[in-house]
Amino acid sequence: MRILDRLFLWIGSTFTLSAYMGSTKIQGLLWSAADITLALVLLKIADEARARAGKGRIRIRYALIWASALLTPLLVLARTPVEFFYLESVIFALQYLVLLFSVFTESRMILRAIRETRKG
Amino acid sequence: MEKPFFRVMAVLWLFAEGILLVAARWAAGTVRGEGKPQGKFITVCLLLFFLLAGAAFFGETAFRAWHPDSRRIDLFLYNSTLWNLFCTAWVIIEGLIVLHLFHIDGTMKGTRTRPGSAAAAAFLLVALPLAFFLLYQAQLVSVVARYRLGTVAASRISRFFIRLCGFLWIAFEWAAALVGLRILRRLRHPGVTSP
Repeated sequence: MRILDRLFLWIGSTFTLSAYMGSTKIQGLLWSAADITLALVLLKIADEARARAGKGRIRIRYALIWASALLTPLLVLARTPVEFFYLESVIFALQYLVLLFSVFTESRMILRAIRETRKG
Repeated sequence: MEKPFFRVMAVLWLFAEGILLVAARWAAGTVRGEGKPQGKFITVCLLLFFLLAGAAFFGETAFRAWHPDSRRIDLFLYNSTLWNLFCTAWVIIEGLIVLHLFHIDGTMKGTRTRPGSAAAAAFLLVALPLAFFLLYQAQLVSVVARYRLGTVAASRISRFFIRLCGFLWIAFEWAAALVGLRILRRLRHPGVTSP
C-alpha cells in the first residue's frame, strides 16, 4: 500500500466529527482574532490619515469590531458544524463589513498620507 | 455545500475577499507611483468569480443532469471538490493580499521589489495552493474508488483539507495584520526605520 493511501485512510478513520469540531473551534478563534487585529490596524491607519486631513475619529466601526470580539468566544459553545457556521457568519459579516466599508471610504486618504510620509 | 445558506455565504466571502485583493493591488501600484491598469485584472477576477458562483448555485443540478446514474458518493465527491476549490481560492486571495501589503511596506521603507521576483512570488502563491488542491482531490477520488470508501470516511478526508486551508489562510491574515502594523508605525514615525 502506498504511503499516501495509508495517510488518507488514516485520516478517513481518525478525523471524526468531534476532532473536526475541536479543530474548527480553535481555527475559528484564531481566525477571528486575526480578523479583529487586521480590522483594528486598518482603522488605526485610517484614523491616522483622517487626523492629517483634519477629519474626526472613527467610532461606530470600532464598536462593530468590539461587538464581533464579544461574540467570538461563543464559537466554543457551538455543538454542530451548522451551528458553528451560522455564528461564524454573523461574526465575520461584522468584520468584513468594517473592512470593506473602510477600504471603500478611506483608501484614497490613506494613500495620500502614505505618499506624504514618503516625501516628508 | 449542501445548504443554500452555506453557498450564499461562500460566494459572498469570495466576493468580499476579491474586492480586498483588487483594492490591495491598486493601493500597492499607486504607492509605487505606477498606477497599474486594473481593467484586465478585474475582468479575469470577475470571470473566475462568476464561474465559481455558477458552480456553487447550479453545478449540482447540472451534475445530476449529466450523470443521472451517479451514486451518492459521486455527488459527495463533486460537492467536496467544489467546497475545497473555494477554500483554495480563499488561500490564494489571502496570500496575494499579503504580497501586495508587503510591497506597500517595502515602498514606504524605500526598498523596491524587482518586477521579476514580485511576479514569481505571485505565481507561486497561485500555483502552489492550486497544485496541492488538484493532487489532494485526485488522491481523494482515487482512494475512494480503490478502497470503496463510503461518504463518512470520504467526508473526513475532505474536511481535513478544509482544516489545512483554514490554518494557511489564518497564517496569511496574521501576516497581513503584522504588515499592517509596520505600515502604521511607518506612518506615525516616518523617520524611524523598521526591520
